[in-house]
Amino acid sequence: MLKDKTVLVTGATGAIGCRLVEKLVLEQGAKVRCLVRNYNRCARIARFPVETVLAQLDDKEGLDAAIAGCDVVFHCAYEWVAQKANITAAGLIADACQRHGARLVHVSTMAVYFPLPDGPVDEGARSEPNGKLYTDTKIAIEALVLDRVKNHRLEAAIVQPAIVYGPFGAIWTDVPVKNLLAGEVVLPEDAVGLCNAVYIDDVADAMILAAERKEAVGERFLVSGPRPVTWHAFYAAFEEAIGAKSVTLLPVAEIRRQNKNLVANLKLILNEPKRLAQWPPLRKLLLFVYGKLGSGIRQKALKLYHFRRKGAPREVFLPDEEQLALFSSRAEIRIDKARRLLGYEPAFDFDEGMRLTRAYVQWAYPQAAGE
Amino acid sequence: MTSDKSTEPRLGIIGCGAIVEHAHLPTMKELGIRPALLVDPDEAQTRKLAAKFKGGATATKLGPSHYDMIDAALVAAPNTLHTPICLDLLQNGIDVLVEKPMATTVADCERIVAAVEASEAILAVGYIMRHAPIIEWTTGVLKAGLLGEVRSFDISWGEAFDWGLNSNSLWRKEVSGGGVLVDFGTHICDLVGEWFGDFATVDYRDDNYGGVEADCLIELEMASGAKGTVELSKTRSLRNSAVIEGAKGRLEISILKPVQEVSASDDVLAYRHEGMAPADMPERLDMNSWFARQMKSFMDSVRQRETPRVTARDGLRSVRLTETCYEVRQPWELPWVRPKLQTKLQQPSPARESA
Repeated sequence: MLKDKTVLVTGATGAIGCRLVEKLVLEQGAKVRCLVRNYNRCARIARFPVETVLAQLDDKEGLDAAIAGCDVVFHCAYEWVAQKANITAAGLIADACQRHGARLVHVSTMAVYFPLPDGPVDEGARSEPNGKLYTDTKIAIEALVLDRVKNHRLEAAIVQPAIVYGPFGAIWTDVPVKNLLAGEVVLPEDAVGLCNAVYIDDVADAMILAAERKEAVGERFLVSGPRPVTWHAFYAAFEEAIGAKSVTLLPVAEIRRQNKNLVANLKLILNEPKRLAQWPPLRKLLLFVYGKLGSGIRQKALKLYHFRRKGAPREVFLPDEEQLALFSSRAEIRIDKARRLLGYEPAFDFDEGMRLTRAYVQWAYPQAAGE
Repeated sequence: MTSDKSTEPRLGIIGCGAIVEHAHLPTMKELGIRPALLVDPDEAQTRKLAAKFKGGATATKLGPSHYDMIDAALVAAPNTLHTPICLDLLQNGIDVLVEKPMATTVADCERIVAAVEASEAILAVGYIMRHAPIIEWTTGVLKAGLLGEVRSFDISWGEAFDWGLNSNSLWRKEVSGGGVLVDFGTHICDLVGEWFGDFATVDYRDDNYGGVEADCLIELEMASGAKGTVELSKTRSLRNSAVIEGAKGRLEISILKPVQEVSASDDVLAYRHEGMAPADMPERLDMNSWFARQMKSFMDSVRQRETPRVTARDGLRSVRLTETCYEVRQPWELPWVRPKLQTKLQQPSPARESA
């Protein structure tokens, strides 16, 4: 138990961070500090008697002050605009944890093993930079943390969540729901992959175990649900939650052909400028420019980004090459190590996790008709 | 008052946070009003704004030396500071436009009402939505009885909150006085009072666990017999509309949607309030114009010594409803939260039925 322990959660306004804060307060009785980079998105964490600390991820003094007096630091923050800054941030946080004797629980990702091999995948799987910024950054941070454990006696553990879904689950809950409500979601018909879904509470519980167990130090733990489901089943559960059939199955070759159709893509871009930002090379440039904008101009840029021409046809969400690889993968994430060393046991199978997620979807999206 | 009202009133701003920087000052600039005084504990902020908006003096604290410098003041300090600041200004004859809510308790509101009534100064409350043409029109429709006797209403307003904030005062109960209920909700409580009169009974639940609520649900029975619900959120996009069912018809207007939507029978839609029907109104949401209308209305009241559009008694009425909500509060138990500790963080308030 972390009862009466002082813990810092970075990225506390994000999906995992926020649910962790809820559990730390309501189940653990911990004294929680939340590190935020601005006050804009504090609505969910402000429901609790938590201390909010404002600091940027490159602010050495600010991070040090936030970590001083903490028993545990859960590092969930991730800067998407300037991703390489996350490596520096992890170094500053690791240093401060070491100085103040706090245990660090670093939230990494299953993506460090991309491209996933088919079959069982555990922490011994190949984890090498693959040219994708997110994967490469997370791998570099893991290496940094493990080096500090080995050579500088930092007390740290790394959790590697799989496909995290659940209430306020952002990438693998809110995004699928919004897409299914807005249009047509295309999945590969002839490459039925496995979705290693894990309910958000199980991830938060695994992180708490990684903070408590001495066996966790210096280790990486894959965290997933009891067993994978197919991606088709994963999306079907969200279709059921919103009461609409919005998934279309297409052969992989057809998806690739449509992705390359210049005229069709131009039309889509004119209807919705944000599609342009989904083109990886331009996305990098736009994110860089966006990071340099002041808040007023950012708002205007976001308005343009979210513009959608009146009367435009329903959106079509085609998977890109990276998503195709994920949706086609037959990898099965193994959680034996987390079971053995942390005592982790997922409390939610997919049915139970989706039951609660469905309740959330129908609460959060009034336009979702339900079953 | 310390100056001749026939001259252009000198306006001070007390509290210079994000709403002042991004809404009030740009509006004042458009209207050709230069602030005579900017007061905020953040000296760098007041200096920055004074330079940007050609303001006059700056100060970190309002004091007696400032009373001769201004005729009117916009109070946009944290909510719990509204009462002492307003009382100070009113007692020194300075007209006030106070950001909503006027105060955070009924007792404080009553002190402000008493101060207004004992003074010759004017106090207007910054319920910006009252200056939206569609809201003015809806008020006109209801007053003209076009919907007949109102039987029910259902108001929902929510979005994943991501507004630029300069401080965390909005998230600290001791400074803000509450969460979504006193931030978004105070506007709706004002409209409920303006449109449907006094409430008789209130049921209220929210998701607060010892901080400030992000989501809440109010169920009301009005003295008129009408029943209504108000749902507010800072975590999710809601329907964002007000639906009013009357004996003669139904009206739905959007609330703060990017494009204004109005649904009613043709004869209701044909109704013109001050010469305007919904078809004549701008289609796109333009909150800047509401701020301009509010400021213009306040300055006109100051110049002409007229009762402002939103009075201190209106401010009191809205706070009476929010305070009653907190008094009868029940926890909103969302199935996925599942607290395991027997915590006192979400204890219900002792139930109380408001008269």
